[in-house]
Amino acid sequence: MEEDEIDALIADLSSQLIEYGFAWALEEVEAGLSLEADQRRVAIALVEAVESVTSDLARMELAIPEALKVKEVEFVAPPEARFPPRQPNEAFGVHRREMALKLAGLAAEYAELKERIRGERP
Amino acid sequence: MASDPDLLAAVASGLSVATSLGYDSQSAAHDLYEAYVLTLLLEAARGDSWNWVLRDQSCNITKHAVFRKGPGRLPTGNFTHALLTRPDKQSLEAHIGVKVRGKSNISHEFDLLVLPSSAAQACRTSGADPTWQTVRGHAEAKYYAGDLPLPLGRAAVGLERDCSLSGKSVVVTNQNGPTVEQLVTHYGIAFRFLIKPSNSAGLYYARLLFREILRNSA
Repeated sequence: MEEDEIDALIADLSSQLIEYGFAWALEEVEAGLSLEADQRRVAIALVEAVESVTSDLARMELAIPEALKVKEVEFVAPPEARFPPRQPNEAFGVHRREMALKLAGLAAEYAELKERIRGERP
Repeated sequence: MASDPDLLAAVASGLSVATSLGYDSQSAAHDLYEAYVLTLLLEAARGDSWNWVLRDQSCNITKHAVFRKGPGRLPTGNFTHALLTRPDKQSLEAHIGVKVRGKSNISHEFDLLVLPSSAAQACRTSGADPTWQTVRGHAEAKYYAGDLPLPLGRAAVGLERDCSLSGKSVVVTNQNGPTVEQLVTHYGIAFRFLIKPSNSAGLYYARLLFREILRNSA
């Protein structure tokens, strides 16, 4: 990738993270980068952030029930929670597993993207 | 010049699916990671001749895992924990996302806590939080989108000082964190980085460390 493509990618990935509700991930990337980081390093950090909140989490979600030998794992607010937990419109059951499998499969695409940023493939 | 549209569409699609799964909630990602780190502890235990079962709050064996959304207390709610047994060792329990009372009398959240089963039972009976003296193992599970910031290391050191965790505690993260590592290891807290399903070498070393913590548990 050329320098101008890298700059455009950084802008686009940042916008997408914010658009889909992952501004917190963008903030963590910014906090973790050294001031000396060049634009390629920034772009790779953003791809890794996308990977963290998509395929990595999906792979963990799929691995946990298998390791615990249970069908499904549920997360419930404890009785002492001061604020009601957010009730996202989350997918459940078989549909959820299919979506997690789809996300887990994106890991190869992220790897390819990082290779392109590093100039290891056209 | 704009980015490759196909590539950006793939990223957008992935983020959209992730939102549908609730991953856009930072706390949900942390909760999931705590459960993942628990599985590493249990795999390590199995590899070192421990048996384990999942139990509910009434200590009945369960096949339905229910974990806390956010921090809670060991004696409250019907949440799942693991009972670990080995003939030559004291029985242990592993809990995630519970408070532990430190020397200062302040309660701290432990992402993963290992303590004697007898101590956990005493908490269930009395309604009190576990105390720092009962801790046999501890992990801070930090799921981040970027390298860990130094304040996390400072918090781990503070926890070590208030709960005497040197030699039985580890910061586990899916990312890197060289400054955090340098700080916490100085105070006897282990550090395991890039701990995620795609890094089998990292998982190996994380399990190895959990085995060591369990060996030193009694």
